[in-house]
Amino acid sequence: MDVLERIQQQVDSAPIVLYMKGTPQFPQCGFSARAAQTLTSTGVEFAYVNIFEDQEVFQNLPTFADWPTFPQVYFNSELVGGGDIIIEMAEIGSLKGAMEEAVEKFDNK
Amino acid sequence: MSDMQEHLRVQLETTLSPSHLEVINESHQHSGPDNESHFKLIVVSNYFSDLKLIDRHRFINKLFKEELGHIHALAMHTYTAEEWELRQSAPDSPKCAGGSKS
Repeated sequence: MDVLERIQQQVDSAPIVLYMKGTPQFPQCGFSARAAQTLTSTGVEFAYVNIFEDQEVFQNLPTFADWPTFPQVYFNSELVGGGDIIIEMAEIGSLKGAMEEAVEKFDNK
Repeated sequence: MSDMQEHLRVQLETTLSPSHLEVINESHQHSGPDNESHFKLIVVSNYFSDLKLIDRHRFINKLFKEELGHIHALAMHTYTAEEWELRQSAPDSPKCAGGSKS
C-alpha cells in the first residue's frame, strides 16, 4: 500500500485522529503538546499518530492534507486544522461539541 | 526587527490590509542557534469574514508556502474586526516541550 493510502486508512480508522510529534504522554514539540492537552481536556477519546515513529507519514502528510505543518487534527477523515485552530475552538467553547459530534457520526457510519 | 519578520509583515499588509497586525518573533523561546525560526501572527482583517478558520489558515499557509520551508513554526491567529473587538488578544504560544527541535 502506498503511503497516501496508508494515511487515508489512518484518518478513516477513528473519529478523531491527531498527528503529532511524540505522544500525548511524551510530546516532543510545544505545539503538539498543547494540541494533545487541549483534546484530552474535553474528556472525549481520540487516536493519535506519532509522526516521529513513521518517517514516511511525516514526509507525506503535508502533501496529503495540503497543510504544511504539525500537529494536524482530523475529524471523520477531514482536516479540522493545526494546533492554533484547536486552541481557538476550545476557547470559544465549540471543541468538545465538535468532537462529540464526530464520534457520533463515526459510530453511525 | 529581523528581515523575516519584516518580510512577513509587508506581505500580510499588502495582501490582507489588516486593521490590526502583529508579527512576533518568538524564536528566543526555543533552543537552537536560529533566531528566525518561530513566528506568531495576529491578523485582523475583514477579508476573513466569509472564511472558516481552516480556510483563513490555508490562505496564509499558501501565501507563505516558500517561507514555511525555512521557518520552523508559524503560529497564526486570524480574526475579523468584529471578532477582535470581542477578544482583543490572542492565545499565547507554547514553550518548546524539549525533545527534537529539528
